[in-house]
Amino acid sequence: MASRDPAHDVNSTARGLSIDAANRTVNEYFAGFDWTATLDPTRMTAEAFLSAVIAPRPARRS
Amino acid sequence: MNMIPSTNPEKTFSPDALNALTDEELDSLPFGVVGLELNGRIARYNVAEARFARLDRGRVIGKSFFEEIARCTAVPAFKGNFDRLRDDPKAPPCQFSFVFAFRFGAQGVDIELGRATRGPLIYMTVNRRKFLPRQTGLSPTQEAVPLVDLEPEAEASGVSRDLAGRRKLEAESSMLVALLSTLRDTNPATVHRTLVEWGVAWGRVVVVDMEVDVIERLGSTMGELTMATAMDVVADRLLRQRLGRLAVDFGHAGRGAIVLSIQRSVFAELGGHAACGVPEGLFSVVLTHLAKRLVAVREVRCARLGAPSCDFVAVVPARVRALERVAQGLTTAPDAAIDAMIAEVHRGES
Repeated sequence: MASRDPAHDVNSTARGLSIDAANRTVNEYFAGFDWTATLDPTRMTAEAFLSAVIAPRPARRS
Repeated sequence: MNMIPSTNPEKTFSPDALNALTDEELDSLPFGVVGLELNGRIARYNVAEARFARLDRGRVIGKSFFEEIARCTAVPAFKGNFDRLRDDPKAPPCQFSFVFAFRFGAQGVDIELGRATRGPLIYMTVNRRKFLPRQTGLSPTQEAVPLVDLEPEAEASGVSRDLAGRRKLEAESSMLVALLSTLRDTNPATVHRTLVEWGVAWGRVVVVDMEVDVIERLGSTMGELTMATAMDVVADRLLRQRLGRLAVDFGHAGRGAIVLSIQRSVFAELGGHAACGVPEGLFSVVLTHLAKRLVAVREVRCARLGAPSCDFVAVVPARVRALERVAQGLTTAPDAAIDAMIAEVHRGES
């Protein structure tokens, strides 16, 4: 992981970001965000893996 | 002057599609939508348009758009397009640029205008393109009506509004305490779920309002801000409303999670940990909006139970049940909760 900018760790709202990530746009950052990071399909059943990576859609409101 | 990108993500303008949306769905759009009756009276007016125009929706519904509200549009370049759609039900939708003349400043806008085939409404979408100084040389009646003219009795009635025209509330905290305790007493089994829904409903308005605010002040959409700036925008909003101080920790991104913490949360302090459902719902909507995918947020550690802050973890919905199981005591540190959640997911039990 790239080095962190202390300015973004101490008093800033956004913490734990590298300098690069802090300056990326929201669209760019989240386009590359891996919400299923650490999932290892070789250690899971296919059913469990699929249920973990496919987000259920919310019920449509009337 | 700011050049701003279109906030209308739809490539094609469809009056029928707008007509099929509920008021709540129209309010979730980050661009202005106005539904006009054939006589020009305002039938529908979404939150984004009210915010951009600094008008209270309740004050404009039923009024004549061209004669009483947006008087600057009563010119052939604008109203001529409306008249054509009114007179010919089969006339195709049209697009054109216009300058709205508000007393607080002019706005360069792109207008889409079209008549719904099912229903007697003509729909207008309004995309702000430029924010300009107030136009000179116009008489007051050539400008859009300011809110103060729509409610001359307001001040005497104790109505106070902010610069965006929203009614301000300066309530004693006892009102919130009483509301939360009433919710808890009337249905203790569902109070948390109810408060999450409250947070979700509030969040839908907040994201539109944040987008409008950022477009006005910074000339871009939230998605075009840097991460650092965007998080400051969200945190500043909570801080200004005296709700608490937000910090967002992205150091867990490598494990597919984001941690949000509120110090001195008004919800926890005044309402107990069930009231933390409100920020859960709010953060879910805000992160879903920014990440452009469904994100769920659950509290894992509550200040009301002795923690230094209320800590929330954001994950994809498929991981929520695992997260809830490992942090149901609301005393688990976020780092440990994320570790345990991932272990739980790996066991294939979610």
